[in-house]
This record gives sequence, structure tokens and C-alpha cells, in this order.
Amino acid sequence: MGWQFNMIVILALVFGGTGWCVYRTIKAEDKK
Amino acid sequence: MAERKNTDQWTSRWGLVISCVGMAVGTGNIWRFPRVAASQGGGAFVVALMIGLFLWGIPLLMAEAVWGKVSRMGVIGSFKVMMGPKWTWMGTAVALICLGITFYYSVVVGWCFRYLAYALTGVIKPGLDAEALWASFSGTPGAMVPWHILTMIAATLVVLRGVCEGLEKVNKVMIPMLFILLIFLAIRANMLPGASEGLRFFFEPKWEDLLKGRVWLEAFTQVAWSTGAGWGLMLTYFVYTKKREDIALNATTVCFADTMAGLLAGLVVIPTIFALSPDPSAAVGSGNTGLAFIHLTNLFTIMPGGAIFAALFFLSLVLAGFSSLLAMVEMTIRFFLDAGWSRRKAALIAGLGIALFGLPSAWDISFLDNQDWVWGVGLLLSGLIFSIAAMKIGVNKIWEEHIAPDSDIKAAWMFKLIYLFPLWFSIIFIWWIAQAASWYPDTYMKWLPISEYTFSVGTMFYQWAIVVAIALVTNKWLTNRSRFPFEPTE
Repeated sequence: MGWQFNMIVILALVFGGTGWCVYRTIKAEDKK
Repeated sequence: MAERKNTDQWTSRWGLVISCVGMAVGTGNIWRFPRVAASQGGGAFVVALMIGLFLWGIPLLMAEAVWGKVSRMGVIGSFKVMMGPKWTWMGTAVALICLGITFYYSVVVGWCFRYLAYALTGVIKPGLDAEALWASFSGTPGAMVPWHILTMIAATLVVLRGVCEGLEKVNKVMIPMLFILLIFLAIRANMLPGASEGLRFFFEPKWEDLLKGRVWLEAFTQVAWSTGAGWGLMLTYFVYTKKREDIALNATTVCFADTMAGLLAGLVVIPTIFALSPDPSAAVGSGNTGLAFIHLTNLFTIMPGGAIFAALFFLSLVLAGFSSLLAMVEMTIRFFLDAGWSRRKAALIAGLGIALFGLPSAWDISFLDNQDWVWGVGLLLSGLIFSIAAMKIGVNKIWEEHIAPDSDIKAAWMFKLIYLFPLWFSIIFIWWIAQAASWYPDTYMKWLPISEYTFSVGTMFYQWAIVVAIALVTNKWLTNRSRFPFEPTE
């Protein structure tokens, strides 16, 4: 595994985690 | 005079979340995260940090949020409500530790404003000796004072306008702008010839580093200092939430967004250094201020379009630092509001007080370094206070009564990990103390003069002892003064 793969995994983990939280927040706001 | 029942609370969850992210994302995300991540195994460090978020940051932020939402009072009053009048001193100790940071953090944000002004007025240009510039600014007594005062005037003007019109409106502009700036700067930095060497250094898989204790200690320390967990700031912002608010999701969002900001800053700083610096290891190995105000500033002078890059970089530092400072000033004035003062009077007194008590740090950088050391490590104690308090009340009880009913994330384990906090605290605390003892092998308990024993063990213990003594002596008085909780209208 090269550093490029490593970079993609880490960015996906952190950006994906933040994105998921934002998505859940938007969903909760919509429900109101 | 009682604080009148008003509608000055967050207008939406977005307002709350963005302000909490602003509280967490500070200068440390931009100048500490990239440096430490790059020198501690890159990807391995980020994995350790993510685990640290769950073991340290998220449970503590959840506890803080409960304190604020249930008590509707600032740090001091919240401990009175949650633990009983005998334990108000615990809140006072947390508040004083955070206040100790606030006094010098305003000076740090003042530096960022100064360097933004340098960039905008064309001082950062080819031929500049960045080391001499920093030495003259930080080493001349009084040079930092006007910037500290200006910063405090700006922060006071924002909190004076209240939660909805001040904090929420300003954060809603600053935080999206900060992320957009970091993305733009990261793209530009990675277009520099040779930038990919920086990315390789940052992301090279060094999974064996996960076996090194130092990587874990640095990752947990970064979580403690970066997420704002245990500072009492999340607590303060949750005073103004609506009656129903999702604590688990908000705490998780803050931690992930905080890490994202650090990672983006890493994508700006490390590739820039590797593309332009003749000695990248020295730049990465330098301290926080050395990295931003000397190494990077030097690189901006030789970079194509460096003046614009420098202005945007220091603007992002200003946005990150100022949004955190606002939370600290609000934490400070919340006590006065709990005592029944008007926001106007409370903001003016708090602003003036912070400006005055920040003067020693603005005058002498060795005093600031000392305060950064004493209260930075002191934050670990604040976290311990929250974890012990949560266990005394009952972790299950807090989860079932205050978090689970309004939470989309039904993962009780996320909060129950707070049981392990004393273990992490002990390991990291002992590590820091052992390190500090090795710096002054024969005189580690000495603390005066501060300019000589800036980072000693003694300087920490004695100043902490003073804070705990003040908290205990004033317990009854502060308990009686904390009487006017915020009353949410919806």
C-alpha cells in the first residue's frame, strides 16, 4: 500500500465522518 | 438585577453546531496538528487521534453539554446544580483554569492579527528576515500590547451583542469562511512543484508507529487540547440550546470537524514546507510559533503569489483563534449573568478584566510560555473533574435521563467510555510530569523567577494549588451568587 492509498483512506475516514454527522444534523432539522 | 427571560438563544441547531466547531477549532489545529502529525507517524497518528476522540473528546464534550443544558448556568453555577452547593468549587477550578488560558490566548490571537496586518501592508515580501521580524515583535516589551487590547475590544463587541446577534451571526460567517480558505490554500499549496514530497511525508504508511507509546500520548494530548473537551466552553454554549437538543450527535460532529480542520491545515502546511524549504525537517521540528511566524513566513517571501497566500493563511489563523476566544469570553461573562448582571455590564467588565490580566503575557513572552504550560497541562485536570463528577452522579443515569431521550445516536458506550478517563488521565499526566522533571533534573520543583523556571513542575503545582485554594475559599460566596439560570423559551 502506497502513501496515496493511505491518504485516501484517512481523508475518507475524517471527511466521511464529518459528512455523516452533517447529514444526520440536516435530517434532524428537516424532521422538525 | 435578575437576567430577564429572553429569546437570546441559538436560533437553530446549525447556529449551535457551527459555534461549537468555532470553539474547538483554534490556532492549534493550524500550527500544532500538522507539525505533530507529520513527526509522529502521519497516518498512524491520525488513527490514534480518531481513537482518542472516542476515548477522550466525545465523552467529555457530552458531559459538558449535559451540565450546560440541565443547569442552564455557566461553569461555576452548573456544578452547584449538578453536584450540590458543596461542590461548586469544582466548577470554579475548571473556570479558573480556562480563564488562565483566556488571559494569554487573547495575546496569541493578537499575534495572528499583527501578522495579518504585516501581510496586508506588504511587509512579508522577498528579502524579509522573518526570524528578525518575530524576534523584534515578540522580544520588544510592549509591542504585543496594542494587538492584545484590540483583540479584546473586538471580542467584547461581539459578545456584547448576545448569543443570537453576536456569537451565532459572527460564527456563521467565520467558520464556513475558515474551511473554504483552508481548502483553497490546500489546493494552491499542492500545486507547488515538489509538494507531493510533503504529502508523501505526511501520509507515508508507518503503521508500526502505532506500537510506539509516544504516538498515542501525542494523539491523546492533541485531542485534549484541540477539541476543547474539559474546558467548560461546550458547557457554556449548551446553556443557550433549545429544551430538546441532540447531545451525542453534536459532540461527535464537533470532534470530527475539529480533526478535519487539522487535516486540511496539514494539507496546507506540510506540502508548502516540502516544496519550498531547504530544510523541511527543521521546519516541522520547530515549535508552533516558530513554524507559523518564522519558517512559513520565510517561505511566503519566496513563494509565487506569496503575499496573497500569507494574507489568507494568517486570516485563517485569525478566524480559528478569534472564534475560540469568543467562546472563552462568553464562558467568563456567563458567571456574571448567573449572578444577575446585565449582559452589557458583564461583557464590559469581563473584557476589561481579560485585557488587564492578559497584560503580563503581552508584555513578556516568557510569562506567556509559562501560562501556556501551566494551564495547558491544567486542562487535563479539568477533564478529570468532569469525569469524576459524572461518575459521582451516575454515568448510566446521565445517559438515560439527559442524553438518550433527545439523541439520534443511541450508542450508550460512547458516553460510558468516560469510566476509562481517569486511566488515560493518569498515563498522560505522569508522562508530562516526567518529561518536565527531566528538563530541570535538579531544580524541577523551583518556580521563581518564572523567566528562569518557565516549564518546571513546581510552577504547575504551585499555580494549580493557588487556583484550588481560591476555589475552596470562595465556595460559599460563589454558590450564593450563582442564582439566575438562563431560561430557554423553546
